[in-house]
Amino acid sequence: MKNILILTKLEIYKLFSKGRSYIAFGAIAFLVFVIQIALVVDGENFFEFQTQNLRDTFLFEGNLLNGYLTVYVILTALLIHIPFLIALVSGDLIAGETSAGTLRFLLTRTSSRLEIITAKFITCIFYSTLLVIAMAVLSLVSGILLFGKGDLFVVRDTIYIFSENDVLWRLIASFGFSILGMSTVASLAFLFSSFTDNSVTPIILTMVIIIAFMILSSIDLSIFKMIKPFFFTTYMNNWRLLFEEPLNLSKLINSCLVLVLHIAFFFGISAWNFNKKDILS
Amino acid sequence: MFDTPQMENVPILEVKNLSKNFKDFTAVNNLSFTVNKGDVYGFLGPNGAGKSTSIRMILSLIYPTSGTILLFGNSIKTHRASIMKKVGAIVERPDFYGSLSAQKNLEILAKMQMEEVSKNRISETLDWVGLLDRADSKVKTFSQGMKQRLGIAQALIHNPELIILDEPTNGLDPHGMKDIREMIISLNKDHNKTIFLSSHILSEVEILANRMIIINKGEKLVEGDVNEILLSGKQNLTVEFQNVDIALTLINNSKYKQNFKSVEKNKIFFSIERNNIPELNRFLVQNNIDVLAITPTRTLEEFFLSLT
Amino acid sequence: MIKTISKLSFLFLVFLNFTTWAQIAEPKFLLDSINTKLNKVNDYSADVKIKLNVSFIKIPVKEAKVFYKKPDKIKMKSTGFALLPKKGVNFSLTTLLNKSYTSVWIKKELVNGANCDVIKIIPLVEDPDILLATVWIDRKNQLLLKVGANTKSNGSFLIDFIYNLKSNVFDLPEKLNFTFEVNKMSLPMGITGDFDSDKAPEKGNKPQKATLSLFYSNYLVNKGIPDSFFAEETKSSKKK
Repeated sequence: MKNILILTKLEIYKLFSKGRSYIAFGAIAFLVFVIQIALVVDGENFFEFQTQNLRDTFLFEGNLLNGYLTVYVILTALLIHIPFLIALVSGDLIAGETSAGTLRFLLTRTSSRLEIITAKFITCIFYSTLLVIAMAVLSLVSGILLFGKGDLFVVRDTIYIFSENDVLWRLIASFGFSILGMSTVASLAFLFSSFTDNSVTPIILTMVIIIAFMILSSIDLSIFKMIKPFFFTTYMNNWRLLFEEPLNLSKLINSCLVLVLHIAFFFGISAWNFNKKDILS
Repeated sequence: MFDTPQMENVPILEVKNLSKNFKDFTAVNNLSFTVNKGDVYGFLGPNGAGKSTSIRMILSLIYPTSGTILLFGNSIKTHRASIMKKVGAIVERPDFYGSLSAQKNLEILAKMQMEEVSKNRISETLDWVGLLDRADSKVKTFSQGMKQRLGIAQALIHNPELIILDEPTNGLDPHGMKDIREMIISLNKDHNKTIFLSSHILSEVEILANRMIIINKGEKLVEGDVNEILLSGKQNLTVEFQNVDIALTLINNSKYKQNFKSVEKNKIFFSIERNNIPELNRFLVQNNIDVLAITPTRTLEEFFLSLT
Repeated sequence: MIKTISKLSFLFLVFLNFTTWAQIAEPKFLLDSINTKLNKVNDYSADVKIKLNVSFIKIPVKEAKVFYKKPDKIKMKSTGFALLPKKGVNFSLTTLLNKSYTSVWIKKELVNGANCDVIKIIPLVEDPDILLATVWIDRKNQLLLKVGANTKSNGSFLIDFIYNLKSNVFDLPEKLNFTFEVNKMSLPMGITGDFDSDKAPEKGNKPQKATLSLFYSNYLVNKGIPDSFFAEETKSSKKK
């Protein structure tokens, strides 16, 4: 255990000594900033337009364009795109060292292969967690500073309006759930990284799978509906369950478990492969 | 700094019936050899002979198809940590984390040994390989020669007993090669390190190694003491004559015609068993042939080429 | 004997007609009486809890403060967000009764245990928004218990008034229940939407019944709210 801790610290150090590790944070910060500015400039008009149907029948008393809504918007938008940023780093963790030749040095030390891959995997999860937390902090702080707090208006098949004091915990829980989702993506990229000698292939494969699953899930054919429960992307989107009333806790917990199982499975395969493979590079 | 206690000759590395089959070819076939403590053991073979594959199997980078490897009397499968504490290695070209400094690279690799390696020691090691003034430079700015030195440094920081060097002078200029050779000699002679040196540069092994093995197509061709191997078998002999024509006529009419290789100016080149050289000498003298000089020119390269 | 029966019958018929006539003639008096009572309230402020019950909207009970000044100024201040149906929230009986109208007594009906007069009111103004209103009045307690209206701009609605007579002397209602119809609307999913709801889309777009309940408390009546207070334009009032 102590060995793994030491190795993990080293892996994290190596990770953040690479420029590419900061691309994701930069991209997130930029996107959050751009979205917030766009909402400052045009958010009210856009929101009015979006809710025009509703306004024909109802009077809107109070202001729904607040920091919490902007955070929700950011969550919805960015969680589709963050997987690429995660795969960019996770896919490089093993394959990058393989192609750079440094893996040989790691594997000719006292640490076992299992310890090394465990440390790398923890680093992979740590990175994706940190990225989601950064997104949470950036969007919450900037959203609340620019727009203040308020009730949250969520459109699904039902319109949900959550009181201000009922929103923050949901948003935080959503980010928490998203950590699981992004960790699953990271684990998948990590898995591919353990099989290849270059870090581009894991990124491409991960994104192809995610996009394919999402496309197939969105097509309303019965055969795709049957296989949809087997796509992990189906469960990644279930952070939205936190914005339903009443809360479907069992479905939420089930989604968490499915994602955790996926993470464990991907890691298991990665470790098995890494342990048995010949290091030829 | 790098001292290892002297001990009686004990096997440090024992390879028995080692084989490695890949999908469509056999890289190593039933290879056996032993490296004793204090050896500079040359591991020779042409490109593609299976040298790197064998080294990778020794270091558990590749898994053998069959056979056993014992390091310090134990299998790496069961005694990894204790074995790898005593082993330092360069496998092919040393690669480092380019965005980090030499110092930082060594710190990371040292920490991976799960031993406390002080910054002082790292500095001493860098100094020993001649890189102290570049300790804080990023490795991506290093030349190939500097990376090779750093490669040796990373193999030494934890003061191992056995150092495995796979083509350590690859890509170096003559100065660089000379420096590396001197380091190897110093490590063995002054610090009692056992060196396992893989190379295709035969002169290097000839100079450095006391024992060696030659492999080709994954199989052992010969193993043993370098001098004994060199002295065995046919030697190249250059004999300089006062009158080469008379000598040539005599040779062509004698049993030594089979040993004749070529003639150049006043020299005749023979390929002859070492034991038969005195007899040839007597033959020439008895036939009143004036010999100016007899020079054996046998090299490992020639020996190697004759084998492979 | 026959003459007596005939006389009695005649008298009975006359009496019947008289009482009927009296009731028919009376709705205006009853309405005026209610209006007079309502006009005693120049202004009020109250805490209100808003509970909206629409099948496709989930909104928690919201708290707000409501301000009223006769005849028809209403303002609502909510710390959070409130959704109010356009139909009926701004309805003011006083405004209706202060204009020209005709009224017809329809029947008696029991509402929440009270015997009510049901009266139809037809505004006689040019281009009225309210085309027809029906009121249920508890004659005994001089209370308006129910109003139903068909409007030009906001369709039809029904308002139930529930009172706790011990709580205030002006007989202001403790609870209002608005009942109206609303079509489930499709909203563009662009800004917060959900692109993969598992639920099947509802077929058809039949109007659905919806209710809004307002729970009033802490009335402060006739404290003198200035007109300027209602003149402040809120964003929401702009968007009405």
